[in-house]
Amino acid sequence: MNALKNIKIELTSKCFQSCSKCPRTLLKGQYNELDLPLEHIQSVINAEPNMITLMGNLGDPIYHSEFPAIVRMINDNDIPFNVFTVGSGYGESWWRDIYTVCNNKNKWFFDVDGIETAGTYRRGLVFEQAWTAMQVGAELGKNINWSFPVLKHNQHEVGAAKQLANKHGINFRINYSERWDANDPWKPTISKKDVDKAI
Amino acid sequence: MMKQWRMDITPKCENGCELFITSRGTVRPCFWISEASDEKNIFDKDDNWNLNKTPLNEIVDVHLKNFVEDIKKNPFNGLKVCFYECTEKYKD
Repeated sequence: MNALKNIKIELTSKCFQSCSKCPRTLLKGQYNELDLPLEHIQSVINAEPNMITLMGNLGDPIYHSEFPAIVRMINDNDIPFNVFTVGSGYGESWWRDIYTVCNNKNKWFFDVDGIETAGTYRRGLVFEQAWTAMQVGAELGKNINWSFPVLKHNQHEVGAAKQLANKHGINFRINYSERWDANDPWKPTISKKDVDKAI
Repeated sequence: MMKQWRMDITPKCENGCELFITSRGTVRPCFWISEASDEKNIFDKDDNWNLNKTPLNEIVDVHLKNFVEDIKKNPFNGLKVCFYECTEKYKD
């Protein structure tokens, strides 16, 4: 087998949020909540990919019941990995434990939809928990990225979110979608250019 | 001269560069074949793309390779998502 570049794994179909456009919300009742067995994760590790990305389609990777063990397995094999999460649902000590087992080859992306308005789209997200996850990671010198989805409800918070992130050593990334239905209620009313000006 | 559109697909999934594994252990060529798409069933319902039935190296070396080769032979063997994500469109 050729060297695999970046294997993307949906660790679990479990999630605590119910985002409006997520397949888990749209297809509710049509899927089982499952964790990917560790043996399959081991088979990916054995293939020695250049990178592993832990992400979701139905679920958020941090809700796999053995997430800390998985992070340790990947890390012990010295394979760089990325994690895409909303970061909500766990407290400070859980995050400290996770970050402590990781080396610094990893990147963490937190998809948080606002500050005051967080949880409007990502229903169930608790900003304070997600913020703690980001802040603790940055404090421990990890590569922490706030991926901010620009939506109608949070477009006024982009500038403040960037300032907050910068102040705490968190990378700030705009996620501005160009794919909208004309009457989509989540569609931002400001252009990408306006967003860029705001930050 | 009549203008014609030509379209090529350059599969980014070649060699498993975009491989996506679901929480059920099924494997898809890329993440863009989403849970909301019917095209997922081409892979999710085929044991050749299931880690519970087929080892990862066989999925990549045989079944993904065949999938990519078929698209290279004829772009119309591709999925809808291949046209969205992996096409190069240009006029002759």
